[in-house]
Amino acid sequence: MSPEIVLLLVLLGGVVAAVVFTIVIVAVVDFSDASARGEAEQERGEGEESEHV
Amino acid sequence: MADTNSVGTQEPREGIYASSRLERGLIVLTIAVASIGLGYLFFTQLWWKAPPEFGCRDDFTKGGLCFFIEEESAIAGDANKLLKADIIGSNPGSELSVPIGWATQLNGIFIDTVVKPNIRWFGYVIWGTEAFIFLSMCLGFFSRLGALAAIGMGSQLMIGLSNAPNEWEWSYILIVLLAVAMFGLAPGRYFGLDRLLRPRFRALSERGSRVGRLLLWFT
Repeated sequence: MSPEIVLLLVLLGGVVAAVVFTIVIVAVVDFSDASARGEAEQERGEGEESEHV
Repeated sequence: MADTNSVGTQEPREGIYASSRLERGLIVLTIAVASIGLGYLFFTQLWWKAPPEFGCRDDFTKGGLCFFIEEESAIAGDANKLLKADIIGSNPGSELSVPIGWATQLNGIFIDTVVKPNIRWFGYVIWGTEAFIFLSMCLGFFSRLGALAAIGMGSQLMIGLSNAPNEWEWSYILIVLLAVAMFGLAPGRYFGLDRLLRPRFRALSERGSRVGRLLLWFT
């Protein structure tokens, strides 16, 4: 196998590793509470600002 | 009385807020083109310095990556300048310029003491960094970290090679400027894998994870 093919496979391995890493993080980390908390904070912020108006 | 527009002008948490869908699409498209373009630039430069020889010959003294390392070492002591503007053509030299002799000297010391004696393994660091920049910029994967690496790599080349014979300084300056823009924009937030990763890293960060905070910063 030529060195160029090996290097292309290394780069392809990098692409696959990046995608697999992303899939694992998406599958493992639950971000629903954080996003819900973010939305709640945003709503509370809007409410406070509305009171000042 | 508070500003009545305050509700409508809330600070966005992240991402872009264009005036129309078309403009948003245009912004995302241009950022993606610039990011992938920068990544492809580094991809094209992986092949002439492919490991394990890095294009070098004669026991890692000539050719390929070794040629440019020798070049940087050879001009390190010159009174090098950057951003040269030859305003008056009849005058010799540039009216405007930034002296970078001190930086090229420091770079020369780094080249002579770290890079040259260890080129057999340091070549892998150089090649690997450029390969990471390619992957990061093209996939939008840890794109702020990839852009930071591109700033570092581009700056080193700019300092070391912009005054070398037959080199156009702006080719290196433009790499640095594009990398700086990508660092600020973090292109993966608009088109890449970072769009999926960031909410998860933020959740980890808000739960007190230092790793999550660090990874969030890298995206």
